[in-house]
Amino acid sequence: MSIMEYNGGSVIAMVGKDCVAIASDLRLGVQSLSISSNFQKIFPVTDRVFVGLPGLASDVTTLHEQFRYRVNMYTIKEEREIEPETFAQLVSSTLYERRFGPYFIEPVIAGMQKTPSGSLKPFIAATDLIGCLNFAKDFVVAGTASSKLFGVAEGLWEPDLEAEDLFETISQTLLNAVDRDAFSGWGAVVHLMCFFEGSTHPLAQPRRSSTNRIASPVAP
Amino acid sequence: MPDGSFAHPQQRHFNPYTENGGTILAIAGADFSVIAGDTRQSEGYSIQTRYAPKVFRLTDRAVLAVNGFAADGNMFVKKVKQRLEWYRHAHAKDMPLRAIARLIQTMLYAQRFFPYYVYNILGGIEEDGKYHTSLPSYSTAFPPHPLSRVHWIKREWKCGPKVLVANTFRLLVQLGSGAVYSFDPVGSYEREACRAAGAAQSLVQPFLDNQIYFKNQTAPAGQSHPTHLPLQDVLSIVIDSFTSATERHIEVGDGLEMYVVLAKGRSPQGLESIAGIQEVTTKSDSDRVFVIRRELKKD
Amino acid sequence: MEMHALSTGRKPRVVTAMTMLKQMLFQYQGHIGAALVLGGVDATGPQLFTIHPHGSTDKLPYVTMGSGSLAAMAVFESGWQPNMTREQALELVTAAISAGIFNDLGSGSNVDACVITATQTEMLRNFVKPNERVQKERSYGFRRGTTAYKKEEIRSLIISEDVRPVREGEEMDTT
Repeated sequence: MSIMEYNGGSVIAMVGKDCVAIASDLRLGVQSLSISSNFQKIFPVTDRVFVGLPGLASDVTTLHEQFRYRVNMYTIKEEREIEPETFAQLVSSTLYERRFGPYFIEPVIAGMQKTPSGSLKPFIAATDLIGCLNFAKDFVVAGTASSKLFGVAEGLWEPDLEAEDLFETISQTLLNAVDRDAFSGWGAVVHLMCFFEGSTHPLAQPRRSSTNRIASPVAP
Repeated sequence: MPDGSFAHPQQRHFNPYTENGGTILAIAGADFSVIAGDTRQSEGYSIQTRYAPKVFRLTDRAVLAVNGFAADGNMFVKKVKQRLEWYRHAHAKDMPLRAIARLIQTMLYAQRFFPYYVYNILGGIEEDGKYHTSLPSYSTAFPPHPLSRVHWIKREWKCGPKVLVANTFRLLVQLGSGAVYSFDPVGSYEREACRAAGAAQSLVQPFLDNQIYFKNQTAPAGQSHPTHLPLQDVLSIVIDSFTSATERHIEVGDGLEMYVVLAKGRSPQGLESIAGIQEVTTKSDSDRVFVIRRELKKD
Repeated sequence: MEMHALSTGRKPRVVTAMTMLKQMLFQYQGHIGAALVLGGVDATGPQLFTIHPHGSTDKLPYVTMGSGSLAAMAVFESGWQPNMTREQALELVTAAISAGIFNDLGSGSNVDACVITATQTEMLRNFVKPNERVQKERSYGFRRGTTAYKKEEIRSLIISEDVRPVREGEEMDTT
């Protein structure tokens, strides 16, 4: 019995053109028995950063609270919100503290990172359960459906997807991957962060926006 | 103890199986099938060879892909080919695809307690295709053959006490349909439209679900998804499946071999433009088999 | 290392780094799963070490580590000679790593190289990239509206600010 597969669940994050998306399934199980179809695995860290925590459900709660505490301390000390890359380092060092008795979580981080010019650029990262960081330029995956997610994402992802197209690509990747994974599924949620500057895009009314959609758990 | 006295009981164990990596996949079209496999054979972290075919032509309408333990796979293919040759000698024709599928099941189940450690995918042309009358190319280019049927139309008119009878007929030509059968190591099998197996099955199968079965995709309003894709699209999806699997799976790579089986009567139009395509059909006036070879990354 | 250099007032030596690393790895009894190749130039000249996860070390003229170490060492054994030039050495390590990339399944992608001289260290990240992915046969973009969803929330994060200067001409002197 693998601890990483005890509760099940999967997370994926993808980069697009001036946007980033992070998505997860909603299942909580105990081995093959499904307990909940509304278990949150993705949490907002700031307005511009989300973290996905697939793995052992009890550690999801523990780590979420640990991160909340540490991010609050950072915000108070620095008098500013944490940047995605800095948060990724925080996640990494928090996990490596428990090098020989790890939390059974493989976090995925997605956010919009401030650039020196003042605009925002997409950022994604993932770590293993002891905090080894992976900064990818395209997509990162984690959880019980990770091999399926890798396969589908490698096939479907392409560079410079607009926000609306990124939503379709990440949703299709997640949905089709979890449909082949017994430990993931039972609904999904997608978070999309976009940065618009003088665009004629329909979503361009707000200069910065965050979209949150719950994708249908089954094909209609 | 050095002399063996007071030694703990020991157990020797010989494992007769190894896993040789690689991936295979097959997709059925309306009147064709594509059966593909990479050509890398590996054990652990070592490459044994960069070219070990996993896909084999059995007849002019059947192609078998075998993945798992290479030694078992090669022996199994050899035995299937032998049984098919015996069938040819006995019946003076090639065995139909569904019969080959059932044969493979019995051959696999015969080894139920010492199985061939292989996953099989059989692809080709099934003799259950639709009957066509309206396509001019079938009636002119392909005159009556064993698969054609004559459909008689009897018309009667009452003319007073007399009954006038007119008999006309139409020639119906059956076009074979693309078929894929997938097996587990002990012979469980089913017919499907597409299947991936082997090391990268978990990477490729959900991609195929999405691109072949249109899973999780809602069709545009008032439209529906096609049940079969054209050959060109299928070949693109097969190639992209393998290049994707090569990126993310260490046991997939080196080369790609794709067999295309065309139903008799289907024009090979569009195939001749493919670079390096090779026909391996043995008889004229039958279903046709082609091979397409591509390079894959070698790291 | 920095602390050591500061306390001794000397430029640190490669053996010192090697000793500190092996002592740490030995302390952890192999539980830190790091296998290292250590190279450098110091007062005693250029040198190479390998350090195993349990803390054992080797000092050799050419070294390899990792799952592709046998493939790489095979190249070294046939191609290494004493007093090679910078170009010769760089070519040989590239060939050795390439042997691992192509013949060992645990290795792959690109070659990183690093050239250390007495005066400077040159990090050649992605020195050779022999494994770029080929172009896909087709694009897999979806028609917008393909994915069905039950609920959508859009949150605008724009913070509108209206700055009205009061008492103009009385700004703080920041010169």
